Amino acid sequence: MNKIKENDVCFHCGLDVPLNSNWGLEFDGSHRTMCCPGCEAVAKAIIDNGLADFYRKRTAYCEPMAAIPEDLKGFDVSSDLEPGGGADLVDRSLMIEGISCSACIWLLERHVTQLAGVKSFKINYANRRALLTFDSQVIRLSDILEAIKSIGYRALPYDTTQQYSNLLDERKRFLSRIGVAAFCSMQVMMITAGIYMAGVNEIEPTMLNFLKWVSAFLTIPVIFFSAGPFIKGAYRDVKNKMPGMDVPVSLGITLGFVASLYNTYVATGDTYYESVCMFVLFLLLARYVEFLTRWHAMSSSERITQAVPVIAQRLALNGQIESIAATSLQLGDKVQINPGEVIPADSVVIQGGSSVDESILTGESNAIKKNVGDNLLGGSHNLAETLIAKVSCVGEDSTLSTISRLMERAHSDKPAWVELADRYASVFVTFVILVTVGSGLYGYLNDNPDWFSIALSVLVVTCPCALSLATPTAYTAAMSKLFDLGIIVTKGQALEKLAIIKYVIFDKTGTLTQGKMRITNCYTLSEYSQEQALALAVSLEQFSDHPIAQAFKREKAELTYQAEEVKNTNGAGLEGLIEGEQYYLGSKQYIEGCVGFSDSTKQTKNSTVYLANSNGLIAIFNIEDDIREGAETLVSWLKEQGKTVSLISGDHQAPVSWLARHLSISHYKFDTTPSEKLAEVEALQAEDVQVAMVGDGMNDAPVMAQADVSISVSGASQLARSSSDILLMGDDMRNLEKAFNMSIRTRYVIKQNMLWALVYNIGALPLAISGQLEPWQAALGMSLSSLMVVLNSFRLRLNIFSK
Amino acid sequence: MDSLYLLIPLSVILIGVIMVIFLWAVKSGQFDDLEGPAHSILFEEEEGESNEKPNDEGDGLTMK
Repeated sequence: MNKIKENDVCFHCGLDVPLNSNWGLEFDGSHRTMCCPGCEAVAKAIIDNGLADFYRKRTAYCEPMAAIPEDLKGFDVSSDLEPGGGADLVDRSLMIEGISCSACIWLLERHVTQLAGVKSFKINYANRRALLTFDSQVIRLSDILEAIKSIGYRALPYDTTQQYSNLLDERKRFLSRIGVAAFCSMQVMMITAGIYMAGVNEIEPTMLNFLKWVSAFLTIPVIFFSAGPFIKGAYRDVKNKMPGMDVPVSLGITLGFVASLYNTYVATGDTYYESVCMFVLFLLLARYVEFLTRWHAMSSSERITQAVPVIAQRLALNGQIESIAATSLQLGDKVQINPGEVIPADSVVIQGGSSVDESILTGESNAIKKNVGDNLLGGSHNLAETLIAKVSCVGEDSTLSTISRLMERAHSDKPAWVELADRYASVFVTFVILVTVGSGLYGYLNDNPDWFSIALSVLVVTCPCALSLATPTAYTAAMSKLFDLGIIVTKGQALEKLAIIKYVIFDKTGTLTQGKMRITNCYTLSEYSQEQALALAVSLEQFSDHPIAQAFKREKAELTYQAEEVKNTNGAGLEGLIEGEQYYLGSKQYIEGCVGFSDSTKQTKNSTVYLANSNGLIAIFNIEDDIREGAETLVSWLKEQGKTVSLISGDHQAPVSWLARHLSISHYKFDTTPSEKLAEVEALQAEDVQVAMVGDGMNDAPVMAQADVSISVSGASQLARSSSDILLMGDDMRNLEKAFNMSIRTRYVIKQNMLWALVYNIGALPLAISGQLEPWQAALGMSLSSLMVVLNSFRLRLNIFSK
Repeated sequence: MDSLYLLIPLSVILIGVIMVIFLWAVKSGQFDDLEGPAHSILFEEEEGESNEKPNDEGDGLTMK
């Protein structure tokens, strides 16, 4: 009994090295095994470029190579470079995927800057973006992208005119405003503290007036620069007759400032410069926190929407092939699709035959044969032979435009909680202003000399800052905690909803399974060699579409033997005639029933498949199932929580029911189309059941958009990721359990925050109306209550999962 | 007390200068990447000059 091969991990990416492979290279005096030719090529490129230090310095394995080759030339076609244009130096922003530790950045910067024509290449560690300057006369953009790809990363140009630079500018503006407000507030507070501490008439009137003028001067930048967005926002709100939070804020700021200025000028009465400054500073900080949440959510979903522009090889009338952007294809154009390329548009095969991988669009895990007259789906992959096809569908109805439309919709969605908060704020703000005006008017009519100060206190104290911070800060804290755990939440609301989910639907291919089922060990028990045993098994498995059969088929592509008269016993086993002898292949029970044997080997967790003939057992194969790590634990945990788990897949019955049995999922559906999945979810929602969808493929995208909470797993298609609320970055499904737990805690914290904010606002209002509160005390109270809310939310980050 | 009439305007001017420097720093991207420089300093050195780090690849490697 001997093993085929020791199980090893890939030196480059850390994945298991498959059986019978001999990829690898010599490094630092010893042989390093690799899992695939891709990793081998990358490692070779890194070492050949004199960057071997990378492997000594890194602190994490690299990310596995993307399996799908991409035609990066598309970027040259679509880029806005004018050929031969005057300016040779071109700046481009790149987004880089696959960075796992800081050594990756070192490697990338070294590798790219040593290319001829590259002037500079700087990577921002925080957001994995790079700024590239290169000479377009010497090197093309696609060459640089290719060079980055050769060492195992994926780089995509990022349009600098887009969102990202807007966000970056916005962040800079925020920082400037906060900085200015902070400096000025500190000065004004310092001066005011002196005035407060001094007794009555201790400071001579000229000095007092001088100090007030200095305070006024220092408040000017705060009003006109730092508070700019509030005042602009208030103006817009008033114009739209839709008062938001900005209205009372700017009212408070401007009234406070103008009144103080007047009192300074006439040299009598109170000034409120310090309240105004502090108010602006704390509000800006709160807004900044909110902005960071948004940025976080955006930059994680942004990465996803970037796709390589698809290039079509169009056959011109004169027989020449030209490369054009897929979007400019016309109905009836003939395109050539080489093996490994993406099919550029929905089309009909007119020449050639090939097999096509449509799994990303339909969920079907097997390659599909396509011959003359068959339809091709735009976006699927051609696997085997070159095809010539005629474009049958462009524009609105084509698969590609459906995809981009769905993407746009996914992105234009304003988070629902923002809208909700806006609507509540509008009601609350109207209330605040009415109360303020009312109390001011009451004081004025009753000849109360402090009427203005009372009105100002009421305005500041009732400002629903803590209330408006209650939800966003809890979201931010929970989101950043989850981010550290490898879970990206793109819509904060999903966090709140997750806790009340009753029904969880899983997709199969790519979600619960990874398409990586394989043979890990082979024990021979007779005179047959391992090679022979494997060849016999593979030839029998050709007649099965059981998921385990896939593992055998993957191991050996060509058949050594041809099995005949194969009988398939209900997914349990196969028997067939090979070269005149009867062979049996299947589960323990099946073989026991057929030949009767004794298995002396110890049982492992993995599935085992037995090969036997009439003389007895020949070999035992250990099959590692490709069920995603933690899926079993997750499913049983979800059931424990009283949630219904169901499996809906576009794949065939055999693999789906096998998986459902394996994970003990009782509700499952197979052969479902995306629209059937959608109908399923809608039917559940009609019964008021909250549904979460866990998926990965493009075919899941519409369902995920429909579901109350959508979750995509690592390796999901771009569309699935862009339409999902929660992205799992790691392979471990148990992370989802953490997300559920976090959701429960987030809801709890939000409730606490809301309660506190209401108690504070309602409690402080009578004090302010009765004139017990000075404006500066009101501002301090407002800030402290906001701080309480922020700190309470922060608890979400601190606690360690106890369960 | 009269010195305050000089010292306070001086401090206001100082604030102005600090603010200009701060705004310049924000604008020129000094705050854009607060993580990278901390890491990059460890990788600047040339090959060969690196202080011999024990070359044990299996250690400390964690999958992301």
